[in-house]
Amino acid sequence: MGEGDDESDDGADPALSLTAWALATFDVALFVLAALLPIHAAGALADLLSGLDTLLGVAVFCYLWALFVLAVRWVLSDAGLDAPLRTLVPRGVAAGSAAGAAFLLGVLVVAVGPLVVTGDVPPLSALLVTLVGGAVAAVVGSLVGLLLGAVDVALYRIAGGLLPDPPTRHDESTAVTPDRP
Amino acid sequence: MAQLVSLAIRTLHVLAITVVVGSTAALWYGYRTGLTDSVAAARRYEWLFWGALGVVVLTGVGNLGALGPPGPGTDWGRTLFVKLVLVLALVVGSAVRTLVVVRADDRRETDEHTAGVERTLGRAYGATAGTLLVLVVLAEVLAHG
Repeated sequence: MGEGDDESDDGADPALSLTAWALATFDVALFVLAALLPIHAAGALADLLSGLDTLLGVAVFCYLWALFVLAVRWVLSDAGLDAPLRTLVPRGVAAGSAAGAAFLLGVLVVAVGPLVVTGDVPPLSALLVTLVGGAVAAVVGSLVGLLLGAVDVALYRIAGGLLPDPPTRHDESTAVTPDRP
Repeated sequence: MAQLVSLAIRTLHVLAITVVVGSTAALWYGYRTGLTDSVAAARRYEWLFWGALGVVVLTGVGNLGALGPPGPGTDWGRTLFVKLVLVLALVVGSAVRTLVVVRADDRRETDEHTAGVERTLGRAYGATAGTLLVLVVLAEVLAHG
């Protein structure tokens, strides 16, 4: 990324840059808050959360968080946020699509897998649900990836505008020296 | 068992907020007084901040699930709405602040420029600490009325 992110002086895993870690956590927090706010405004938050086991909720959030970290790390692995949009957009869409499909697949493996093993759900039905659900999740994920990627790039540009301008360097090769009287 | 899990989630929530508030205030004080004079401290803080923020969001949703929040028409519901909007603002503002740190670390050039960056970071951490304090007050209102 050319951002000095992989320096080991901050004691972090050099495989993960600060930018990727921060933006992945930012994206997942934004994703959760953007869902929570309208649900609460509609008065449906209590009903939604009361049906969710706390430990299951923790596991789902951690899984989502890990997927966001992997996705953002992959998007930024070859291009920084200052790269052209024609480079960033396809990567963001692809990463979001893969993360969406992986999220659904993980949930299905945990929720439906045991039922298939015990014979309560026919394997063919499970496969059909996985294929259709995976396709829908991939499309939703690509849209989320596109939107969050746009937000990330916008914030990166705002951050650049907040920094004080670097001082202009005096170029000696072009300087005019009054060496004659 | 459910009560124990709920207690653990609340404890983790309070501990993560404590870490974030304390470290933000310390960094604001450091940049403001000149005790902190490099971007390296900010970089370390940002790693910690985003880890703790993830835990805060995770445990915050867990707390809401355990409490069973009343509707948005009640005083409690309105306070929660304000708190969620403020958390959203904190998250967005913090992303900008972190990217300022990353970009400043890329650019580091002269002492004069570094001093300007430190002033910017001091203001950013001051704003973050102030927002966190308001959030703590709102959390107290939600917990104790």
